[in-house]
Amino acid sequence: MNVKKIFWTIIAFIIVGIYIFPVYWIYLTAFKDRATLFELPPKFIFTPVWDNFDELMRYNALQAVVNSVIVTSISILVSLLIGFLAAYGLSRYKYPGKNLMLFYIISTRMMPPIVFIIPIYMMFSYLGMKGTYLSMILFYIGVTLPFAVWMSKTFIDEISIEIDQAAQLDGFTTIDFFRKILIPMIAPGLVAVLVFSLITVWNEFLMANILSDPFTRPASVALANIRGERGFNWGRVAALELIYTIPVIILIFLIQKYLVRGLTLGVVR
Amino acid sequence: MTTIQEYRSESESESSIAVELRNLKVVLGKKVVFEDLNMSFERGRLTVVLGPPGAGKTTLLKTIAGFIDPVEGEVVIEGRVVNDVPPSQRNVSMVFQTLALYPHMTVYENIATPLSTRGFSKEEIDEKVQSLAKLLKITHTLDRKPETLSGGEYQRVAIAKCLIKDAQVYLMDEPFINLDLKIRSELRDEIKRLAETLKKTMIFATPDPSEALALGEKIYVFMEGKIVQFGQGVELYKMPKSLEVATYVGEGLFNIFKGEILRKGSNVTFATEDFSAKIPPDILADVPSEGKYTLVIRPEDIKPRRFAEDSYEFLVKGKVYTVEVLGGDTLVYYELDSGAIVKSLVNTIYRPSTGVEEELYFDPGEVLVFNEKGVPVMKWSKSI
Amino acid sequence: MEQVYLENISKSFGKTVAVKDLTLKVMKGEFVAILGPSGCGKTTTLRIIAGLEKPDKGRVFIAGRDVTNLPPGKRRIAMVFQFYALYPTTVYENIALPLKRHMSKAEIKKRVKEVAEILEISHLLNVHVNKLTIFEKQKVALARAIAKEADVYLLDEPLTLLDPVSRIKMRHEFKRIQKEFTGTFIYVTHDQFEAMSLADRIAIMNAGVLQQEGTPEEVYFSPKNTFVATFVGEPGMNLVEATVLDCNDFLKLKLGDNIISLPIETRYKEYFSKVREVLIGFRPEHVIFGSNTGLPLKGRILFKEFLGYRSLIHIDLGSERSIIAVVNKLSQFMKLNKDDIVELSIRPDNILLFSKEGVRL
Repeated sequence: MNVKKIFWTIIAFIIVGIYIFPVYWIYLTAFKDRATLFELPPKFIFTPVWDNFDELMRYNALQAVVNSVIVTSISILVSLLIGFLAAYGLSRYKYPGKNLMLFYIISTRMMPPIVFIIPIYMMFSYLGMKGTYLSMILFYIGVTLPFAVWMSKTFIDEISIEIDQAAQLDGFTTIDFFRKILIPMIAPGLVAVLVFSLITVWNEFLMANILSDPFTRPASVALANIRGERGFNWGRVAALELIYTIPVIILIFLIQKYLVRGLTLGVVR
Repeated sequence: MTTIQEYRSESESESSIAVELRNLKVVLGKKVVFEDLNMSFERGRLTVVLGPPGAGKTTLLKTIAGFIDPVEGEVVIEGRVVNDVPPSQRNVSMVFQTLALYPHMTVYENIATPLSTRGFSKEEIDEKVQSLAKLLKITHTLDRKPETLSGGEYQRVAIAKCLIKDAQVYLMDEPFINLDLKIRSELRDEIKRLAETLKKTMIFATPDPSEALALGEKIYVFMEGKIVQFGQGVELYKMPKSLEVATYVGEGLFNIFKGEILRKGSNVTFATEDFSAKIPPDILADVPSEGKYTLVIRPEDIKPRRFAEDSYEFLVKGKVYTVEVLGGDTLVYYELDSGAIVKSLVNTIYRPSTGVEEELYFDPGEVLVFNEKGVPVMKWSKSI
Repeated sequence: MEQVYLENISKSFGKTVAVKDLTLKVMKGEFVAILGPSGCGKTTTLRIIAGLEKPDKGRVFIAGRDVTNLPPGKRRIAMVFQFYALYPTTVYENIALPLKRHMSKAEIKKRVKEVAEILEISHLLNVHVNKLTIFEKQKVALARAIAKEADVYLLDEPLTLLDPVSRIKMRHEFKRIQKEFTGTFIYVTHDQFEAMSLADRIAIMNAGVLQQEGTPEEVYFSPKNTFVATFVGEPGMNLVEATVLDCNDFLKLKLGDNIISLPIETRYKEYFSKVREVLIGFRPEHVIFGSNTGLPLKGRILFKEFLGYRSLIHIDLGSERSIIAVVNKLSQFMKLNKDDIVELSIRPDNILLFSKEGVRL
């Protein structure tokens, strides 16, 4: 029995290792100076320096990460809020055209975003919104909302309507019902929605690139633009990437309890 | 010694109506669940609504609670027409079929919600929760979450939550399904005791005839959206008004024989392909014309020879098919030549081997006869 | 000759004790039911006999062989599960498969036909099991087990998934099979009525411990402890706390507000002189209304329940002691009213005594 356990633990380590290694490498690279960077064979042990981070500060590159945080958090939170409310309506109420509406919402996700580049650019350009946070936020809400609606609806459907009715009899107002009963009951599901939306938006490059300007560009775009005099400055790239990963790690750390529950909720039935 | 009629009118005279349904029509989707429905529920009493799944019991309760709007007719609670009043303001409390307890709250919090949302003080709430918990024997569960409770405990909590608020009507929708026999009878006794002591108006829906019989003084038999009989358990069991009610209340245990009535002078016989039984004419209202009839004999009114009483008459010979021991009584199944099964209830543990042939006797004074339309042709004035 | 012998079997799963020091004998040709509430250890016991679980302690003997260390395949047992566990193929194949190892094709054909006839499924032999009703599937599972000619047949709550009508039919099948075909059966169930109807002997378990084993009549009329007394029967036996007043030729007890005298054997006199409280047990149907045929009791009716073929009367004996009596005749039921003071009697030989801890005296 124990041999089995050891064997599988080793396999697990190997698999995790394969995924973590690139991230680890980048973290190492962030602390290397120019010279150590290009050494072959690559060095794992060296004296870490802060050079790359200093340079980032000089170019105010951290602003990019701040932009990412602003744009992402606003979009996913608004998307989740609207999505939840819409999902509730779609789940609980009957009205003509409901199925059509549902189909329409999901169908918007069936098209690859690249189809939209030109229309969206033209639209925001005309409105004079190029380079604003708002343009990116609106786009991201548009992209994540269908998914938020659809998944939230699935979770709400799971809850029998008699809970709503019991809450009515118990004297809960609708808002209190949401706050104290419904949302806590589907919390893992909502967190799952949050995480999927997060992944979509945080790393998005294409539209962000088009819609932002040098002050509002998020980190995904900023990374592409880091150029040194002689080609890419990998040290700075790595440093920025390191900082870029921090907000996500913090967030995941805070919500990890809900993550496993939310992601496996549909599977283990 | 009282007759059933006397027994009934005594209790009716002192009470008055808490809930009334007048000419009610409810439609769900395209289906008319019931129409022109008139029902009244006494204040301070437990009334049972008995009916098979799909009869409309849940719809009925939800209409009284306000979750379903009637198309026609009125729902009247304590004299007030509440058709336009939302559920939260109808002063109604309900235990749902799926027992809606909030999973993320403790038992204490669950039971307290009807009060905590309405601004009762902490002390008041605590007092009420503790006393109900004691009454329902769930004090030990107050700090736990619903998912950790056993079936019986979960039900008790749901009932406590329903009873904690002061309402004009308490609605219970099949709260005991899926529970073990023993727990069911315990909870049943509990509800009866609560109904007695708290004197609250309760409406209890169930598809289980024995549960209805055990619970209720007043039972509405509700089939396909219509009331087919209303009365006490004893009445439904001994004097069912139609073959439909008899079959349903009999729960598959009543022996139902389809056959013909033949007359020879003043003798009336009921004949099937397996047997021919003499019916004493004095139990029938009029001397029935010859034709197709259905004979219903309850299992406790058929016994194998050694257990039969002197007044019993011979029915038929049957071979033991199987036995079902029900504690101190045994239900013995006999197979007749035609393959029909006859059920006999014996008041002891009796386990003859399969295939043994026995003579079966029946109590002629207890048979029920229904004509082709399912209408009884019995004389009901027999006092018991 | 005992066909199955369990010697001091114990099994735990982590901290939970599933079976505790169980010793059980099943004779050849007997139909024994293992009965108990969920979690009592009955399924674990069955699995240990089958070889699907290994006991922590103790040994299992089947037909005289010590099979404790043998895998299920080598124990010559056949098992029928709640979920009929059929292979996705025809009925014929299902029954035949387990036989292919040691029988010739011709022998198999003969055997399958025999068994199919016994269970009346001959017309289904070439049908794929997907097309069968649940009742038919269970019959196939049963046929498959019987075809194997095992030393013992193990059944794990096989009727639970059937609808009531099919259940009655299946019971008939069991009874018939028992008659036509001598096999040793061990049947696990939580349904006491099923156990009492089908079994020659019943072994009752609770929390891993064997409470009593005996014929249905024995466990019903002569329970060895209060668990069996209340578990068997619906409602269970009336158990009332009584105070010992004194004990000379007769045992004088205070039951609620009643005082009764019971004749007892000399050997218990010493025990009762030292003990203050005792439990009195009697079945609800042994309570007779009217005080001429036994020990007299007086009580007040709390309420009555009409259940169809019988009625239950809840009676208060005073000082918070209450009992349930059964009434079979409607005329009698109608005569009794709430709050009536009634006189009851119970025949002394229907009265059982239990110690306060629940052990039968």
